[in-house]
Amino acid sequence: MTVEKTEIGQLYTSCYQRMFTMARLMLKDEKEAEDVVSDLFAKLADGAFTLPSERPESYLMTATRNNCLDRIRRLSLRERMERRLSLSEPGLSSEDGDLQRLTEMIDYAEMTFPKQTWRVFQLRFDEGLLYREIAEELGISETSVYKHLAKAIERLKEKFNPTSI
Amino acid sequence: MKDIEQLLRMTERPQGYTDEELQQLMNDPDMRAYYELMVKAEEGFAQRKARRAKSVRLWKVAAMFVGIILLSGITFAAVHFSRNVPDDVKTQAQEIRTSDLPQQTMEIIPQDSIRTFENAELQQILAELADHYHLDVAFHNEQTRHLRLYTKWDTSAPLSQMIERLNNFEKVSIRQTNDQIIAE
Repeated sequence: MTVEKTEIGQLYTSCYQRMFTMARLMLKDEKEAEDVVSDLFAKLADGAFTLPSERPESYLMTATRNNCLDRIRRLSLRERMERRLSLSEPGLSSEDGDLQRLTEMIDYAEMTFPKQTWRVFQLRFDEGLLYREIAEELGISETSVYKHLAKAIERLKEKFNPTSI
Repeated sequence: MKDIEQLLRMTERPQGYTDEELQQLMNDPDMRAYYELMVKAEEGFAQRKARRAKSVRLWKVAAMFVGIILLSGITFAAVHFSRNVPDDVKTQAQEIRTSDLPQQTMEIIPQDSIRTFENAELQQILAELADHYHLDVAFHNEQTRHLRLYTKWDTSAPLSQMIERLNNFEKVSIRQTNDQIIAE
């Protein structure tokens, strides 16, 4: 359908935040997420693509996702590691159905890891602290932080196959 | 273990390593698997946070709803009371201040109402639910009996909440009828 400017404005208001949130989660980069979403709306305004008459919001979400996947595919190994993105072919993991598996893995870690290992694991992967900061926070050496994290990751690998999560 | 430590160092500061070094480490299938798990761990925490934020929002809506019902109930009781009691008692009743009423706030779930299932079979989980909510269990798909799950159950919450939680698991499909919990 041809979209009038007022309709684009309405879609922008109702969809921007959701599109941006998804793009940020996928790309792990706020600026690039903004670029993806803004670019889509700019193309829509230019008539570069048209929206279906039914559920245009879903179409926009899918377009956002596909644009993010394209960008991820173009990233180098280094860039992916810097953002801690998966090295697998993008789109093959973290589909909606797999999200439950992710929380299941964290629940498992919380229930089975020794207390200190869990705390180190949480500070690193939930709160994003640097190893040095974790060591200071818990009053332990950086080497201990590495040991706790290594132990945690090994235990997860014994239990979960990363390609199926 | 030492290799994982190297991987941990590299993921915190990849800029300190050459492309070749990064590539070499990631060519090792074990290291790659460890790296993927680290990525998944971050995503898992983010996902958990998002879910918790959503459930807090739902709780707030539920609390507002309870508040409205409670207020209506108090109003109804007050009207009913004042119509049916003698005047001297009415005077006493008027002296009861709101602060004297039991405080109705958002329900805080006591920790002892949380039951944790660790690697428990679905049949065990459903048996406990059935016992608690006085229902029977039926398995329409026998294979699901032995699915093993890690999950938590708030025993003070309605059954529907736990069913919703269980249905989030892959391969689990549960519904409730008047007298049964059915696993399909």
